[in-house]
Amino acid sequence: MKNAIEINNLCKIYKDFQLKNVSFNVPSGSIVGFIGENGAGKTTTIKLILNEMKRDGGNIKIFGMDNIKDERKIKEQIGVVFDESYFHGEFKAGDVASILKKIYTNWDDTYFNKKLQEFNIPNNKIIKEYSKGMKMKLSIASALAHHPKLLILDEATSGLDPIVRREILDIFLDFIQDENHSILFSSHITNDLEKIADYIAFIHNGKIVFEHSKDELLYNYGIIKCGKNELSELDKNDIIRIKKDQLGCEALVADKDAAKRKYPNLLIDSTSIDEIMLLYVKGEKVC
Amino acid sequence: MLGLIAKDLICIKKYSIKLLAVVAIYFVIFASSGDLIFLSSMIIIISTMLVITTFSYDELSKWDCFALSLPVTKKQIVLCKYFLALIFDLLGMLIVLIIHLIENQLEFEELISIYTLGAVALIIPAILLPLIYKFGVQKSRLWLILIFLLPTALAIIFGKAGISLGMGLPSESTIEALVKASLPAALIVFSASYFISCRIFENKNI
Repeated sequence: MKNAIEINNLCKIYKDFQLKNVSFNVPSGSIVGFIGENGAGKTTTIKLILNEMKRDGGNIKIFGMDNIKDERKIKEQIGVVFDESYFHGEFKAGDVASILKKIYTNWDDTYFNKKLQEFNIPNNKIIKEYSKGMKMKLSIASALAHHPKLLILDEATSGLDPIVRREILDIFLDFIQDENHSILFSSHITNDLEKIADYIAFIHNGKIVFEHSKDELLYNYGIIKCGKNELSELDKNDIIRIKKDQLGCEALVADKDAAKRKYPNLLIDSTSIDEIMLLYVKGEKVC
Repeated sequence: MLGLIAKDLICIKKYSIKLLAVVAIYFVIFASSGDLIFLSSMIIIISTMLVITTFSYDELSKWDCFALSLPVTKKQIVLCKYFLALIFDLLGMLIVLIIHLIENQLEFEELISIYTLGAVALIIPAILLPLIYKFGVQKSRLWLILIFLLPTALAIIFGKAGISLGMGLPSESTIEALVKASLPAALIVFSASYFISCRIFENKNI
């Protein structure tokens, strides 16, 4: 199977927001980082993937199956982690297991308990008394214990300290070692995605701006930093977005090396996903 | 589906134990007076309302959003709540039955009143559940007050205005027919309510 998730022309219309013809894929065996500012449509897209609400257009295939027609079959093979634990505060880890083992046909209690031990999650504490990191680890353990082939993560690392975030990223990297496994990782912490993602899909105002390989973005994209008077020297076709401020201009280019050859006198820096996102959102098109 | 039921039962485990303790205290108070009608109504209504408590817990932990990521359908989530409402109603009736047995007050008349109470109590979730699915728990509580107050208020207003609604005291045979029909009627309303809730929940943006 080529793609774990295939999204085609997905639409959802709200009074004040629209998801417009969203299309992107999560190739099998890869981690796709789904980025965008708050309110860009990341969670809406994920909820539509999970069929939590009705879409107004388009289609979604997961493991080659329709996400509505084969919903239960698909969800047996998906693990989902949200930005917080949605288990009731009075539950203990054992309660979570006793609920989920009745829901998933291939729930693995031994594996769940092994993960709890690995993550240092106490069995006798109620969830209300957990730290945020512990809650997330419990959510991850419960999302992994039915041996899913696909993980869908919605801001799973937001609000966590760098050490716990790193630990959690390692868990995901460990999961992806199996080449049949895939991850869709929605986050606005682009730093995390730079560490683990293979592809980046960027959503802005309900529209997909691009889906590229992360390496292409980090190694090929660049930013030309120049004064306003040097701007006229630049070929408009080279520039994806430009941002001007009092100090000068920043122009995003898709081929850093070519730009270096073309403009040997200008300063051309490597870029980060954060900067690319910022320039796409705050910058303007030149042509 | 069993997992969803298990989740709700674990949720209200502690709360139910506290409720049972309160019922025990009331039992001691009311049993000495010999009047079990008030206690019976209270027990059946409170136990049926337990299902509403599970919604409060769900809202607090945003459970629905998580539940829908599991291999369960929206219909199953709704069905679980209606099933629980029914089970809690039966449980309430059973407790009342036991109390009457302990008090040695279980005659045909008491059986009829427990039967009718159980039927009437089912109407509460039948009205409230679709409202909860539409408006959430907090707003639905206000709706409940409105739904129960409105007929009473109208009756008082009509009464004061001297308008007769042509409803005197019903005859014995009418009462008998009403009592007999209460459970089937309640079950019909309850089932219709399930389908309405399903429709609302399926169209809801979680």
